[in-house]
Amino acid sequence: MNPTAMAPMAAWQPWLTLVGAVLGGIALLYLLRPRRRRVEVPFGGLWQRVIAQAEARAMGRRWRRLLSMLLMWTIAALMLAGVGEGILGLRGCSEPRSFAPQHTAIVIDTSASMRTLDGTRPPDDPHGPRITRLAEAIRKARELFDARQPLEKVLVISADSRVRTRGGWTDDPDVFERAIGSIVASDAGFARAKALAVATDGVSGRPGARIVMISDGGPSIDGDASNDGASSNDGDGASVAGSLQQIAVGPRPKPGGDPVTSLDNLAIVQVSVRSLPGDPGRGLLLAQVRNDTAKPVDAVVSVHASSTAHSDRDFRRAGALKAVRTVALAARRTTTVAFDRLPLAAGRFAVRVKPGENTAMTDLAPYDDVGFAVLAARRDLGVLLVSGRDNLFLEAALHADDRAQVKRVTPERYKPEDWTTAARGKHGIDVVVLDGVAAELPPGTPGLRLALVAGNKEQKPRIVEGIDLKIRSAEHPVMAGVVFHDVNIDKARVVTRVSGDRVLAVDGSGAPIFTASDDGVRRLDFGLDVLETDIGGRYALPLLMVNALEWLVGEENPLLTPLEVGLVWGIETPVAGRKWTWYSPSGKPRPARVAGRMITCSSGVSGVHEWRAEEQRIVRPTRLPATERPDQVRPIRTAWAAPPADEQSRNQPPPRQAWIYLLLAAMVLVAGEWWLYVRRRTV
Amino acid sequence: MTAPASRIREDLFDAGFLRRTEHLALIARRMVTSGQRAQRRSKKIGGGIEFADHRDYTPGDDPKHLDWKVYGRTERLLLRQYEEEEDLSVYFMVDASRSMGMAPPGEITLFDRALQIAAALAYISLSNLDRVAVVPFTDKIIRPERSLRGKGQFFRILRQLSTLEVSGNTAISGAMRDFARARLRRGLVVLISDFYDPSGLGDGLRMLAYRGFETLVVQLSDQRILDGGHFGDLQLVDCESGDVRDICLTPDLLSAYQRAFEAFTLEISNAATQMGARHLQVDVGVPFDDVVMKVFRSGGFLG
Repeated sequence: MNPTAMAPMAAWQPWLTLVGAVLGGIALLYLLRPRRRRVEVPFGGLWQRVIAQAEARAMGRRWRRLLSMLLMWTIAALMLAGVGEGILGLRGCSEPRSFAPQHTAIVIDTSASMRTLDGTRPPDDPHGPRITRLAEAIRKARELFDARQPLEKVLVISADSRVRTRGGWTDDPDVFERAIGSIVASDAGFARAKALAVATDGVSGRPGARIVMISDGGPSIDGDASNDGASSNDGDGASVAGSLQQIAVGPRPKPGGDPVTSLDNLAIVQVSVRSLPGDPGRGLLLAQVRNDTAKPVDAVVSVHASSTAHSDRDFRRAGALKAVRTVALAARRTTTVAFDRLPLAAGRFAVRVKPGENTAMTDLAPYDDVGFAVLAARRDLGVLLVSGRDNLFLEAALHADDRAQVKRVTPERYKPEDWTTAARGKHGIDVVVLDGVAAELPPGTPGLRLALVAGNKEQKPRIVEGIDLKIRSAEHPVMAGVVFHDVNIDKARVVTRVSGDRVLAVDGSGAPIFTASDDGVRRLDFGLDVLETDIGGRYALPLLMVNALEWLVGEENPLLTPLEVGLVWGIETPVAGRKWTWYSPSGKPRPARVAGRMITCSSGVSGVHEWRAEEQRIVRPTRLPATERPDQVRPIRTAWAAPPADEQSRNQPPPRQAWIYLLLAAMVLVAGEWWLYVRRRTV
Repeated sequence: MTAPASRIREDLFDAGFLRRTEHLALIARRMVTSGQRAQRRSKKIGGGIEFADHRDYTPGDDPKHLDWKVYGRTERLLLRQYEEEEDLSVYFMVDASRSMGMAPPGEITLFDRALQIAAALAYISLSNLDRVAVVPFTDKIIRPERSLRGKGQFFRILRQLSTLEVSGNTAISGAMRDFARARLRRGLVVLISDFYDPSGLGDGLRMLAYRGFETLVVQLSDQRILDGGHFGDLQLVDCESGDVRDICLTPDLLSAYQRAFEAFTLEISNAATQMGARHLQVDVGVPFDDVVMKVFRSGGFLG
């Protein structure tokens, strides 16, 4: 029954309704027909003989009658089905009512969590090997395709952080198989709203639009799709005529319970590495390991190092095993594992976790068992020390930062206006330190002023004596690790605080002694003279200087921030105008897209990414999106704008008319009556 | 059967009936020779004058019956046997079961026709100086009347017949058993019935034959039920047993019934033939005088 044939059916509806009513009436009259007439006969035995003979002879006739009845009911059923399908809305439970053209966009979640090995096995292989959620999703997509209606076309869309259509609209099984076969899961998160937007655009303007999203219900990196974000408008401003059906794969959280379900999984959450002060060849590697199971687990954490590896495969193949440690992981907790004094020469590290040999569990999500870290590239810091005295304590403290290249000048030779940006660049000066010098810092230059003296613009600082220095902002990077216990201070200068300054340390009365300002250019004012305290002999001073220098140049965090897989990365290059080549973990090198000094790119593969331009190198590790926890599955719910009422009514099966049921019931009764009639030895 | 004994059913035995019965008697007289003795030969071998057969001589036999002519030719001692002529006893056994009383409203029933036939034949028998008795039966002998002789007893016969009414079920073997045990004089039994007996006719006739009775079987049938008008879903009720059967009567089924009835009639005829009885099947629609004429033509009733 094609659509062109269905169209004129509406004109027949009154007639068909009339025919149905007549049939129903006939059936009713048949049921209410007069009872059998009683006729008295002189000899029932003779009739019995007739009946017996007739029955004996009527076997073939009975078969013919049965076949005739079956044929009659088959025809009646076909007629009713035909009429019901086209006119009366009788159809299958959820199947489309008509064979009008339909368009179904199948969105398949290909985020990292879909690689979890807890997909539901197919019914025909319930004891087969474990399958991923993605494999289950693909199987369900195939089922959807196989159950499509005539004239229904399907568009396959894969979605993680990027949304891609796989081929076009098709009803060709080969094309569909090619589209579905090209889908693999990435390490990226799932952008649900973006996927729905693309799917909406895909079905926009097409009749019988439907979007089917197959996902494990993990969180979306762009938030849950709101109605506004999920629906789109066509040219007339009307809402897209479509509906969203969401199909869940993987484990389902208990209804009404905690959406987080325990799962047999160990994961590397984050890895960081930094060198140790004073020993650049060794460092501290910290790995955060998460145990998603509901019980404590003994795990083995190993560290591989390589100078060239990009992917987990590279590390396993060419990396050197640097450390192995067995740790006890608490149930559903994240534990930090520290590898101290780790050789850092390789620069790139991969940390892997796996269940201990005596731990009976299978890690269902192998994709998050490895994390990557890269030792930040170190560069020299040019420090211009302006001091009129031999402050060896200060110079020694500045040199505690092995990157610091200190250049000392006397106050007489120091002129702030001479240290323009170009001049600083020429001499490699990053920071200016004024030690007891009544001069200004160069404009636009980060700097530290020690032992404040009255300058041109400042008033003479107030001096406090015998103070007990207290840290006010311990969380500030400059004060990280710094303690002033047992530090004797004869006197100090109260810093004149201006708006926006942050007080780092105060005296006993609360007067600011250390302040920090960051109005685009970072400045530190320390009202402390190193020579007037015994801090020079303590560990606090070099630590304070190292912190100060790194904060002033904006490198207070020596850890390289990992890039989140799936997002668009903007990476600043040291110089502009170079052609950069991108070496990703997934494949061959390719040219990077560069705008000015920024490289913009995105990848769905976790590992170590590297960009090269001649002798320049930028190396950054990646991390998985926080949303891609395999145990973070939530109940699938429809976050989709319901179609307008008229559209909804058009897509929903119309209410079935009561008289249809009456007619069906009458026909069933007639069939039953027929059956009983035959069984009554009637000839 | 509770009607007054003096009342004669004028609807059955009216003046026309009597006139036609007298006419039948005249026809019967022309067909046989009349006399003081019974006009019909009995099967009894005895002191009559009509040669019947030879049999071997056994010691003790009266030598006067030896056939010397045969002895002269064959040197075998054979006795001559003669048929004993005596007045004949005719028993009119009329089926009075309920099946005999069925008829469409206003139509004559099998039972009424049976009474007319019995009355007419009784008149003829009385005219021939035979002894006549009416024996109604259902599943047993209802009320055997004593034998009557002479035409003057005809109205008594009519009164006996008029008092009969239908009741009970048909069981011919039971009735014949009762009749045979009554040790009546041997003679001719005219059995008038529809023979709608599930157990059949054979046993009853066998008992009569065993007792030496000659039997004339008159089977009455009623084809009016086959006249149509009853097609469709019917619930058939046996008037005697009350059994109910649902059928859908179609022309085909009606034809099947006709064939079954013909087979049933053939069974009756075969059973009668096997027992040496004559069988006559007549429809209730046939006038009684025609039936009597068929009896004449079938032989056995008139000497």
